[in-house]
Amino acid sequence: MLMKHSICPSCSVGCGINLINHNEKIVGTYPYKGHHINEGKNCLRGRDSYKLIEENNFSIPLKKKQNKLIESDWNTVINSISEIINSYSKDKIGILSSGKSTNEENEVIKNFAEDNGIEKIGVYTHNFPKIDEEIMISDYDEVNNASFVFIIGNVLLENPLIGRRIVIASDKGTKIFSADYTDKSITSMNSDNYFKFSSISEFLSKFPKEIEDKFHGNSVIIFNKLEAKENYKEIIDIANRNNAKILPILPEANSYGSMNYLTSLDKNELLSMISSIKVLIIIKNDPEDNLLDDEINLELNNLDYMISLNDSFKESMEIFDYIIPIPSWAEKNGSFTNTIGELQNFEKIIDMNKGVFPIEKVFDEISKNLD
Amino acid sequence: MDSEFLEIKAKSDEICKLGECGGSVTGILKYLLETDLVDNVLTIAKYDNIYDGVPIVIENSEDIAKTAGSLHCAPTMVGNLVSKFLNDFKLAVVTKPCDAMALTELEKRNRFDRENLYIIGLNCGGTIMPLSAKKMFELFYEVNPDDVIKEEIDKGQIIIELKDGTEKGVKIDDMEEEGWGRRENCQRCETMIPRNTDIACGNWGASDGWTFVEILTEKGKKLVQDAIKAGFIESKTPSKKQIEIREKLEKIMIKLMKKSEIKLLETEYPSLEKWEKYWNRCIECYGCRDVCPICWCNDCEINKLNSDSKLTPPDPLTFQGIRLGHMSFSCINCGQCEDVCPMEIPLSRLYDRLQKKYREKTGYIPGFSEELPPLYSPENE
Repeated sequence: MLMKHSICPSCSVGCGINLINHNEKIVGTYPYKGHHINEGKNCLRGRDSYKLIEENNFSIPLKKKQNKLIESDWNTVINSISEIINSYSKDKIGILSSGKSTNEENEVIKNFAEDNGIEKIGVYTHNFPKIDEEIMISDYDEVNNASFVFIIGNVLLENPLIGRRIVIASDKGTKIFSADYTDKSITSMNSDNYFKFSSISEFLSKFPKEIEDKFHGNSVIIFNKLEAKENYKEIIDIANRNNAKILPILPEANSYGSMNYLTSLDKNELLSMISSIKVLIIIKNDPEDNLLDDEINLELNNLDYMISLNDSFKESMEIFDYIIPIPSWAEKNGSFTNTIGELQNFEKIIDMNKGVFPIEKVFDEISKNLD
Repeated sequence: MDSEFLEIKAKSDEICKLGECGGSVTGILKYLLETDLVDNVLTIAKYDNIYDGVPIVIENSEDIAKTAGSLHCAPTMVGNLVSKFLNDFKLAVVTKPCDAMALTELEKRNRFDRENLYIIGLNCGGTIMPLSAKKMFELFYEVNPDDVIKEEIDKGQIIIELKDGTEKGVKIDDMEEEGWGRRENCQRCETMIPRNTDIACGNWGASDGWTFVEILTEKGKKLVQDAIKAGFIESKTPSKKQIEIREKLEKIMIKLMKKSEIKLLETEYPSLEKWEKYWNRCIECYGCRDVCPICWCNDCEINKLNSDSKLTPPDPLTFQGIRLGHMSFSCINCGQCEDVCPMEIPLSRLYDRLQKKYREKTGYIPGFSEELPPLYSPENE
């Protein structure tokens, strides 16, 4: 049994977590109490993150035959993918990464696209734009000590280790206001005032005066959802005129880092990219998990080929034509950049399965066959 | 058996210097591994620095040296690691009193075979959360926490050693009065000497460079005798005065504990309104249950609650009620549930308080009583 430090891959907060390697399998997690972000506290999603590696592991490339994915082999799949790419003009090929890819993987993806003249490339960040480093971003400790906190989204439930800092502030007497789509949530129940909205855009355009009047001292606006990139700008405007800081909580572990390499796409930009191409290479995106949207799925149906590189296999991935196994975050050294821009390196916990190759090897092999 | 007292230290000068109080625990562990009495040793080692201790399994005797020295900023729990992952091995496990209490409770529930286990207890004055320790060293010691290379608890003080060799000490009481210091459950812990192990080792009453050992089982007695014979450790008999000093120190610590216990479980115990506020925060993450070394049912009743929406917190009467009904009688006050709660719910106070009320009525002392708690139901186990 060997315990090693890692970074939780389940959201962008960047909590530390110990993973337990027992007989070359990750069998559990153990609190990492010395970690400066979460002090050994993790949410259920974080503590369960290792299960994906075991439960959905696959190490044989898959290809679609008569509408069903079947096991294939490395050479066949690499050759078929290369042929597909060669048979389309470069402007009909797109690459979509995700915030689950590490910084190192995103750099490889970017280089592959540049070397092969593929310009339609990006990362779907659920409407969050690249975080502007000039903007006053709150660090986590500033939430504990804020004089007023305004929240958009169910942050206590969805990002509990930021939620923890909100309840610490609340215990000190800080007023907490929040807003969301639902009638009630754990965040609303722990707020001094709650605003239900049907649209974030509409809510921000008519921002309630009773919230605006509450900003004073070290106020922080925390948000984990946006409907469009413009919402981000509107929130910054509210923060600027109230001398407040913002804490955007991006959707995935490395959403922040991925935007340092690839263009962030909001939903409309993603739809427009998909509609202009015929072949999509899609990396560490799970249709069920992070592309769950009827409109996007509908648009995906118009593609000729979808080629996925993924660290796990789930039924929802039956929509892909080819799937190549690549390592998960725990099977290779790498780094994430968390939602406040902190670079977090982590080490390999277990070896990759035989048959799994890192993304650089996959793209190297494909590149060799390209015209 | 009646306890026996000895002072021991490692025979090797090298180990003597590496370990705390003469490297006696390191010497014993080396003996156990080198004579194949155990397959593995489970103990705690520094990962990156003194604020970062993690459980480690050692198979080779030459690796034991890296685990030498004590770590107070490592509030670990090893009970569940033994029962989940290491119950097939012949194992030596180095424990704080709460680890040893967890092992006793798990043994009663047949989670491992005690025959396969050597339990080497370490006296414990309490542990400190790593980040709290860093802040304390800045505030009370006015030092850069990164410059601290060693810490120990002695004579009511936390003493630190800096990179440049200087030492500084501050009274634990002074820091705890201002809300710092040891974890709250450690402040209310009455078991500083783990008498539920094979041997309990510590520095109270010990001569300089030696470890004071209380031998508690026949197995422990044979272990120490054989390790001496094999030349891994040497021993001497402590004087009556040394034994008295140790007893006196224990009594002082227990007196201090009683003061904290009254404060944390009675006078400053959260009001019902406060509890209502805490339960409103529960995100149903099961962290408290999953980390609890006593909880191990294969089919947990809480899973059957089947709350369809996580938009609102679970009903505490059912969620925490089931936990209270099932494990609070056996709560060993290790504080892990509170440590890992993302919502800062002071769960350990609730469980510990209920256990102590139950103890008053039944006399059941978790981690020490040989039988299972009265009313214990093994239905799902």
